[in-house]
Amino acid sequence: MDTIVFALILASALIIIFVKKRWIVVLGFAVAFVASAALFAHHVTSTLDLSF
Amino acid sequence: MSEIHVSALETESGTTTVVVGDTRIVVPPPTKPHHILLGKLGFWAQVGFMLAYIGVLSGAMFYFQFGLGEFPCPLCITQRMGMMLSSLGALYVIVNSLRGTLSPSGFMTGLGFSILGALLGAFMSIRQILLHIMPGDPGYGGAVLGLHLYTWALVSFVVVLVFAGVLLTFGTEFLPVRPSSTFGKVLAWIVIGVFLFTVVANLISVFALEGFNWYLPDDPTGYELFTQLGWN
Repeated sequence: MDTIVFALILASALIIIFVKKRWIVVLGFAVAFVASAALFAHHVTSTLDLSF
Repeated sequence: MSEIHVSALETESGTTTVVVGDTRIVVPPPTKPHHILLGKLGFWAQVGFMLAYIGVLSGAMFYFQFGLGEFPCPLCITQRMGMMLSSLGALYVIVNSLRGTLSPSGFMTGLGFSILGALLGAFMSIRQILLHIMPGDPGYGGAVLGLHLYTWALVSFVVVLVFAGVLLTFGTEFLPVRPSSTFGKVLAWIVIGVFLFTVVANLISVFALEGFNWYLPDDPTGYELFTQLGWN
């Protein structure tokens, strides 16, 4: 999954460089962002034993 | 054929308003030399932002991972992603500026990317700081100037948020203007190339760590790919 997320970030960077349409750039960023957030959510496995 | 009324009004701030029939056109005052200077400062600030994250990402990977043999934990990897997502904002601004197509709204899109990436990265680093916040906890990995890498990551994300906040406060004053010299343009493209190389190097490094598994182990102790291929 980590490898795929890095590949999505790389794809988003290449879209920024080579594609001029802004909605495609925003879409590429959004996909990479959501994938990173989803990976982070997967690693948040338990509630911390802290009181805030 | 109907007659079209045309009138023009110049205000004290130098803005000229031209009215053609029912259409109002606001013409901004001519660009002053200090606007060009601030624009160039804005451009190199974005390049500097990108270079700083290239340095942090490369330092973490080449010094701590390859040099000291400290394997990054899953949360450390997600923070690298946050830094890259944040840098994509600077990349967008620099690329469009070099093309000469950067509009104020495009500038804001880039700053938006930087803010969103920094916010996500800050969540990730705060989670890791809280995991090790109890007294007596040694933390994960080595420390630099007394702070662990995930704490420095949070510092960097806060710096990005302040950077974007300051630029947005000034509106379009720091709207990047591309360098006029070929050397400046080539230098900016080299920084972009080094950023792409950093992302690719991280991709290969994490593939070696993770192998053909879906996720990294909580406490990685070696390169899973090499074990799976029978290379060690």
